[in-house]
Amino acid sequence: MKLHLGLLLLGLLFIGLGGLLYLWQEGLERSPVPGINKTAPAPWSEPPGGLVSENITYIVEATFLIKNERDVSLPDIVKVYAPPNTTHQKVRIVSVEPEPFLVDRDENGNLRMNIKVNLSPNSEIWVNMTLEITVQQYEADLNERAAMWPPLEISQRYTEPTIVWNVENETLRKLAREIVGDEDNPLIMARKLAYWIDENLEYKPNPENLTRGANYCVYRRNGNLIIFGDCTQAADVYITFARSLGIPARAVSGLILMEKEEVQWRNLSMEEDPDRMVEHWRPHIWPQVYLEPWGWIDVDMLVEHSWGVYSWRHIILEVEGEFVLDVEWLKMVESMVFDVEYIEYKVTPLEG
Amino acid sequence: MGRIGVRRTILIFLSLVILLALEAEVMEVASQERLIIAINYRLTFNSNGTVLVTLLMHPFLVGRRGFESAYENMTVIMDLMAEEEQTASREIPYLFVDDPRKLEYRIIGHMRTVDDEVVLLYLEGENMTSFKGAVVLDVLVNLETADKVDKIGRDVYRITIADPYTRMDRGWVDFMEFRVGEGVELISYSWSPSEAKGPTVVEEGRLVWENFNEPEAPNEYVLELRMPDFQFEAAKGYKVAAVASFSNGMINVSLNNLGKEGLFYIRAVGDGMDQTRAIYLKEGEKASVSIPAPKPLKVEIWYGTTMLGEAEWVREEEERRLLGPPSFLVMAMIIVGMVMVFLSLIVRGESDRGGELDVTEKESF
Repeated sequence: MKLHLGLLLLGLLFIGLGGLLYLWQEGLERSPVPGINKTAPAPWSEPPGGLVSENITYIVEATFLIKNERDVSLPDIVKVYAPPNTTHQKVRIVSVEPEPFLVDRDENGNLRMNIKVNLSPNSEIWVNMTLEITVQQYEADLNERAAMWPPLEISQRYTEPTIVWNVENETLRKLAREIVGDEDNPLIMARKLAYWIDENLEYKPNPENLTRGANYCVYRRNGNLIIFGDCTQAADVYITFARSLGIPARAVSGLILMEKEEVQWRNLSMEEDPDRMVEHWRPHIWPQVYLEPWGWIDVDMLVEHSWGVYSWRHIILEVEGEFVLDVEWLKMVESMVFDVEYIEYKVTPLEG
Repeated sequence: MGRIGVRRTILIFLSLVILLALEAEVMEVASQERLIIAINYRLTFNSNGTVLVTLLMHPFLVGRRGFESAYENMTVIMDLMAEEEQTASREIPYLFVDDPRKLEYRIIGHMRTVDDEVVLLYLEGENMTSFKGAVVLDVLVNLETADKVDKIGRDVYRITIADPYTRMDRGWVDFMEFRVGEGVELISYSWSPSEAKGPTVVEEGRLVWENFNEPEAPNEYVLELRMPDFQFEAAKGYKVAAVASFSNGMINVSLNNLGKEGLFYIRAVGDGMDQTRAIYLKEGEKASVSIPAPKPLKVEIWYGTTMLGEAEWVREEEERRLLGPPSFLVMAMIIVGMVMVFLSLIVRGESDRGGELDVTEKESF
């Protein structure tokens, strides 16, 4: 029996191409890292890249005026807070006056100086704390192929849902997944989230009547989801996004400097227009993500408008990570019965 | 005058974001009276794993003349009573959990004033002072949903209770009383930090801490209790089936959530490597995660701090057998190809017959 050779070859070609297409599609489905990492990743053998960094050390003199405006003598334990060491900021307590009788830590590791204060009627006391803070300013130049996922302990501590970072919110989870697409590299995912927030934040400083938490600041506008608020909302949504994708994240708060040497102050006995206050008082909150093998990386979408850029302008005064409340951030001083009338942070760069 | 436990104060946390928007640029603020609330807790542990939490509060105003009881101040009491839901959902849960939404509780005695109740707090001297009259709230808590419950023996549990106010930096619990219900046995107790004071009353089935100030108040109370009817199981209702495979430098883990929804940890561990991916899975949800690794490692599945199990490994040969069905395009190409092969036989045959006829016709000429 004779064959139509051309047709036969064409038929075999179709069968062969069909088989190849099948294997290719199966290979794609089984490719462990969609997107850029089609080839075998080996982050442990990659050079991690690093941080182009330069240290700057400040002397920070914190001063708090505590008043007893009652007609009776009262005792109290005044608490003054100092930040813990972080990946890119080291803190040394130089002095505290009056001397604390107890120094302990809160659940996030922030230091608490407990000071016994007895104040006679209508008297006042100045509480002073001097810190030496070394800020490692940097621009991250990280090799994304070296990125790895965190160990269990870090993941458990910094990806759990909290009242403020509600990973259980399906809208936020889906949005985070949508933003990163099929990306599976934690470093690239963390960066994509930051850029999205930078582009989709409808900035409103000090939004009124807004309960703190990522649940309350993501809205739909013209069919798209946006974030409404300021640095608090940007940080809370970013941390929720990151945690929902399994990337450990936390918040840090402190002061933003305009000059390397300056005094920031606030008089709590007066209420002031926030637009005026920002001239002399600039608290700020931003997220950090934990990426192996580098540690905590800062994500300041409002001041730096970039990912992994950290400048001399940041001074961390508080870390919020494992335990967070749906209240305002940045604890500095606390008294139960006395009035805190005045707060001042004088920042001076240390020569040499 | 001594110190008292404080639950709420007017100026606690300071930040720019809490500033009120003002019309005037700078205004003097009148000195305000500060509301301070003495806090007493009574916790009664039941054999079935529930705890009756009774919160007793006595309000004070700190004005020009110092501390004054505000128990008969109607405005203060009404404001306090209006916060029942907030107290039940945002304060009491911190005794047992980090995230208050996790705790299962039920209000069984609504906020009310009880003139015969006594609230204790430290003012001065060597003992606490009693104040008659309390705002009382009763809440029944399910210990199964608490963060720190560990089964340490047959019917014996270690239960850690935190001071909600020290952890919130809003004061401390002035008076903490633990009682056990019928059938429950108090085996041992401890507290942390160790520098804090121990209990002032230790009786069979009853412990009392009188906390004069915050540094003396424990941050955590740890009780070991025998609770015969408590059927506690860590991570109860959470179950994830996991199958792992290794290819191309990646551990791929297919997950199928067979239990309650939640955040699960997928950990690849071994050979000096420890990498974990957290993933939130709804009930019945299937998903897969990949973790880069030089070779197959042990894959653990965790919920919270409880390991649910290990992923089952699929060998590569088995994996190959598990190739999925071909796509429509692939099917179409193969069918078209087969049809072409078949046609190549038929078309050639007919062509041959046509050629023979031609030859015959030629021969007839």
